[in-house]
Amino acid sequence: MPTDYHIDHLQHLESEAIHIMREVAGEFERPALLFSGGKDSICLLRLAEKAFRPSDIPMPFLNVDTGHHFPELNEFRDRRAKELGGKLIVRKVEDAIAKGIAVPAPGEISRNKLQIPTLLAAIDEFRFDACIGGARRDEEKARAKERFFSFRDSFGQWDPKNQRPELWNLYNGRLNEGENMRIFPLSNWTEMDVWQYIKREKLEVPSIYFSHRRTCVRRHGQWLPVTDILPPRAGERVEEVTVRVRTIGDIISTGCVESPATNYDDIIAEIAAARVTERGSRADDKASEAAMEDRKKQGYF
Amino acid sequence: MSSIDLLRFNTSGSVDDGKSTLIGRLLYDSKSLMEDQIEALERSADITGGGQINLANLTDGLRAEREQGITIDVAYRYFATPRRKFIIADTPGHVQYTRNMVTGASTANLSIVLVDARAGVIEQSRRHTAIASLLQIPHVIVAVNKMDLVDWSEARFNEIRDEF
Ligand SMILES: Nc1nc2c(ncn2[C@@H]2O[C@H](COP(=O)(O)OP(=O)(O)O)[C@@H](O)[C@H]2O)c(=O)[nH]1
Repeated sequence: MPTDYHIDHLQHLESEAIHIMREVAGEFERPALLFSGGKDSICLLRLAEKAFRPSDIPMPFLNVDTGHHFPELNEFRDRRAKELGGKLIVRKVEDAIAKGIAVPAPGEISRNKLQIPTLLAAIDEFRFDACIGGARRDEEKARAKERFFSFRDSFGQWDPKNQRPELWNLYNGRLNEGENMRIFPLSNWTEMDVWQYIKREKLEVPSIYFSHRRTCVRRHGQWLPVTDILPPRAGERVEEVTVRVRTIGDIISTGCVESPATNYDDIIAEIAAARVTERGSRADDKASEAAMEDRKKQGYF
Repeated sequence: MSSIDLLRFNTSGSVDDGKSTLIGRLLYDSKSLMEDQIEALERSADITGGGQINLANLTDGLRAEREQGITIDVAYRYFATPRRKFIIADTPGHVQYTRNMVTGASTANLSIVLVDARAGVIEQSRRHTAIASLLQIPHVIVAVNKMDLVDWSEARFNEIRDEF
């Protein structure tokens, strides 16, 4: 450890995030922490430990399971939640469809949009007044506009043209009945910061972030994993490739990147040299320039 | 791991003084723009009619902003050099969005006030400088922009400097 009082950029981001975690615990009655098992939410859990230990983390972990998750991700999610002694709540898109809460459009295979009503129903069910998420402003340009404390009306909707002032490190948590807050402690973190933090804190991540062999097809310039829900189309060649995932979405929309990275340093070097953003490998964001803004307005996190 | 510093700054000044363009340029020149972002920029080039790539589209992240060609709310952008990491707040210039400008400026260590060389120091330049002072932002830079449109006149530059 350095012996001077110099705060480097990771420590600065860490203290900002820990402060926000504590604000949430102080200002809200029924907060939840969205935990998917992905790299950003892994950082959130470490920050929660730093904010609240030796006490229990004073909020349950919530995950919306689309049914299209990578199995490695769910295994990691369940194990990590247990290790931390946290209460993990999982709500499944399948169940929401069965109950008529989420209604797929004819022929709609993607579960991406169906996550929204599933999440809103979970917020309703547990009457959560605040949900902490791992979204970062550098991911996407609609996200670049969002406050740390992002107000949602009683329909779970975000109004980007009417956001609250948020000065210095003062956060306004005022809500009326039925309204809720989405809270993003990692707002100012970049993909690089996340990996540097994971390395510094020696945090375990799901194995699929590292290089492995996977059966894929080449589609729209990306390697997509071949599974029962994503069979190869006529004329597509199935190949064994050495890949890793850079961002984890659903298994049907997450493009894998060819990579030999087997440890944190390899990943950090790879990101430093990258010429596309991490969301460049997510089909859900390519839909249109305002794809993310539109989903967020409907209640996406 | 080597320890690097963080600098947070914001760009202010009136509408069209060139805030978003300056940021777009910083990102472009520091090679912080990725291919898919440049591609997205090219795809959106037509939305405001010109058919030209508009670097301001990088930070104007909301549909309403792109359609109206204005910045409504603060956008944050990130870039790094080997020595420093930067967080930029691109803050709106319209007077009716001042509360959003204050939100973005409140966490800055440095504020850049842009001035259009043709218009000189105007009400918004003064308002944003006064806000930077109220917020106790430790460093303020006044940047005289669009010097090409006054034929790089040093006399004009000095005039603006003196007025400030
Ligand atoms: N000629 C010239 N035009 C500029 C310069 N800087 C910005 N502009 C143009 O001025 C207009 C407004 O710029 P913008 O960055 O959107 O201003 P903002 O409203 O302050 O963010 C755009 O059409 C830019 O292309 C400059 O140095 N010279």
